[in-house]
Amino acid sequence: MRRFLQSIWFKILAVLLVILIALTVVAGVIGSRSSPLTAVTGTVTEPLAYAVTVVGKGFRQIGLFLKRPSDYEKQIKELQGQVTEYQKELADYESTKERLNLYEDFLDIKRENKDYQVTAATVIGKDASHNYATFILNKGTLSNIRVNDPVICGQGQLVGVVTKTAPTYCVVSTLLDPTISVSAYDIRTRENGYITNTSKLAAKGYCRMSGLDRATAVSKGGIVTTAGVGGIYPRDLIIGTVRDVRNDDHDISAYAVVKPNVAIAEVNEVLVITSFKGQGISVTGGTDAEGEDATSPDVQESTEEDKDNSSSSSAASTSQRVTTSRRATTFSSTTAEPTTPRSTTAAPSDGTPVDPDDE
Amino acid sequence: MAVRIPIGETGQKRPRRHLTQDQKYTYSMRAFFVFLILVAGLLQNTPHCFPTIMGVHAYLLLPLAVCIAMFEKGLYGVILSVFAGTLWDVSTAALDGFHAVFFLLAAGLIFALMNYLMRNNLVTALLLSAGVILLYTMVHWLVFNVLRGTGDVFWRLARYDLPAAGYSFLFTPVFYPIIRSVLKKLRAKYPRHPAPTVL
Repeated sequence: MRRFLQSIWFKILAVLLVILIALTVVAGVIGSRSSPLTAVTGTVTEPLAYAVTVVGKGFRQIGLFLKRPSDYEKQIKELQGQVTEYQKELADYESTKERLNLYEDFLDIKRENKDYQVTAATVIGKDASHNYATFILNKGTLSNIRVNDPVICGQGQLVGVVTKTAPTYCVVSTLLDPTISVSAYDIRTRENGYITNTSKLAAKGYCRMSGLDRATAVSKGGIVTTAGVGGIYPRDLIIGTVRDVRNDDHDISAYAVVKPNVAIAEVNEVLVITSFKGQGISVTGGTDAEGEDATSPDVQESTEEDKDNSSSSSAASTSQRVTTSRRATTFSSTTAEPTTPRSTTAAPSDGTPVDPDDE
Repeated sequence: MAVRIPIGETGQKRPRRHLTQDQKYTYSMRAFFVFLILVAGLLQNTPHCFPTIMGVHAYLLLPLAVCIAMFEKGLYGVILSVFAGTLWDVSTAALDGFHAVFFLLAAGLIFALMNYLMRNNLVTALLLSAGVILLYTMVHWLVFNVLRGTGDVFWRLARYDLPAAGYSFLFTPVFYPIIRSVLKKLRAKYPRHPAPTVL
């Protein structure tokens, strides 16, 4: 044992371990949260991952064709004798249609939100060790994508947030990830809460809107959107639809089970919002782009302390939570924050829905 | 016209250094290991490329790294394992460097065990693979679920993490014979013999 500890091999091993730990610490400190070693490896292997993804999509298309809907079967019947050639054309058609839908949605989003700067990206990989649909996109810092950029799909449906970046790729944590917390509100009742998750709900593709009062007016069918607090997610990005409202087992609050409108695990093409009006500016004023919430390893719009306080009783809230409108249950703030109107720099000025507090 | 630059006082060209058979075998072996790691990493982390059983994924890199560390002992085995871990870290949103450090320590432990205690055969491969996979599963579960307070942690352990460990372990008797047979063929192609003397 002594000889082993004194051997050159052990010393080399120890040096390697120290270097790796140092790189991990560097990754945690720098903004991209990606160590230089991982960034280099990912940049080199990203084209391979993209190529394999394309091959994987081909396998998937074969499966889809085996379960072709009746209109495709009609087309195949009509084009007898050239089945293979037309299958290939249909595969190209599906791919082009998907991209066209994405660009149409992109155009709609740009028309409604002129302040958005959006980058289209494709999913090229997924994390096998997490079952929360974490995925990798084929764009990175070279395409102006940064940590904490929101990721959407389709007509403004929120999918997740960028949590790690490298020059040519980035990693997105989705709404199914329990470490992601998004401030949200119900459109109908205007009640505020925050989106989080548990392993059981994530396995079913649902997420959880916590922080509701037991006497909440939120009910099945309600639409939940982002509240725009904290400066990470723009306001009114659609999160999903309420499926159920239940009382929390551990405290006197309630939570809503929310089904995202998009199948997060099946997403292939997404849009990353690289810039929007009010990004990095929290409702209470001041920028928090460099603050603890924006760069903490667990990306949160509200802190852990907020979640604990709001879940324990309706009496606690942090300076980051907006007090709700007079129609809904009001959270009383320990910092005695008044129902302040949102700062003009945070509010979009291009006709998007107004702050519920101003109604 | 090519100009021959004389080397040495006599003006003769320096003799070309040829790789010895052992060197060819070693480099071929390492290239094969790198190729295997790339393939396993891409299959593991690319969507729709490897079958999942009721949402349970296979961690192909774990049994592969164990087998590689058993055959490629020493520093290069550790470096290959770290490469496998780094490849996994690329696709994870979790703490960057977690897999690289874990693979480094696992490879070091395997090297020590192979050097002092164990022989290189399928039984030891299965034992080491089971131990490493189980250790990874528990550490990952503790760090990224229990300590983070994600909720339903025991349900997740029973539903995803332990089945994934079992699913991953099934590939140990796939990787080990493949590596062993390829290395045997490489050895047959590049047999050991003393290095030729340079005239």
